Amino acid sequence: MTDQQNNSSPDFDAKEVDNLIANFGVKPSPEKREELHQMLGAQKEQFIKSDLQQINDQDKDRSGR
Amino acid sequence: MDESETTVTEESKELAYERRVVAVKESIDQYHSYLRHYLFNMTRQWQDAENLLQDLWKYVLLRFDEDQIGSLPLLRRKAYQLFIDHYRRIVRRGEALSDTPPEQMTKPMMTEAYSESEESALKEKFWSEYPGIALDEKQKEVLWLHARYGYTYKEIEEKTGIAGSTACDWIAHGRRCLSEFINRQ
Repeated sequence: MTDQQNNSSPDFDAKEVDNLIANFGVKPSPEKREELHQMLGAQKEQFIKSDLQQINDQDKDRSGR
Repeated sequence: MDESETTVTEESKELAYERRVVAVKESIDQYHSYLRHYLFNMTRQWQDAENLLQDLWKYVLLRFDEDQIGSLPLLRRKAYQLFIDHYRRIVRRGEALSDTPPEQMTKPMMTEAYSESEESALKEKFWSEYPGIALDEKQKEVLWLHARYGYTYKEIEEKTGIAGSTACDWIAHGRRCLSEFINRQ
């Protein structure tokens, strides 16, 4: 596990190329795809809220100056 | 910030969110299968690989810069980081990866489900991700035939007229070029 003891990912090895080509554009099963799309849809509120929170914080910073 | 500004900001954030979802869906269609195998090779469990991928796509949607959502090197790097976090969690819990019997690797040959024109479009799309790569069209074709469909050197010779020994050299060269290209990104 020497490579796995830090977070820098190992280089993309030439041996991985075949796997990349074999799987390129191979979509997940329809059920899995639907599940992932639903998961993405469920993130909307969090995305907007977190962003707005950031904007509001920046706004407060500006007012405080 | 007054109320109208907040509304405008919310609308623009909603648009940004919609754009990001489209980009992530496209990225899922292109790379989910590859990343699933990449993670499986480390976790040795399909369910763990799927769970990590779900975390990955959520992270990509919420955190990646919009123009980086389809970047294979960044997706791969983040997938690796998520695996490391996962690994550390199971080590903390006193479990070991090797204690769990690895699941069987299934052969990822689902490509026959695509029509010839779809395959051709995918091939074009794939190579367009690597502009300026030092491979000519024949070399790309040989590597594609071997990696995508599992053609042997002899079969490539029969299909294309390119000598098996040349095909072997081109495949090795192609793998090297592609990995170097990806590592430079």
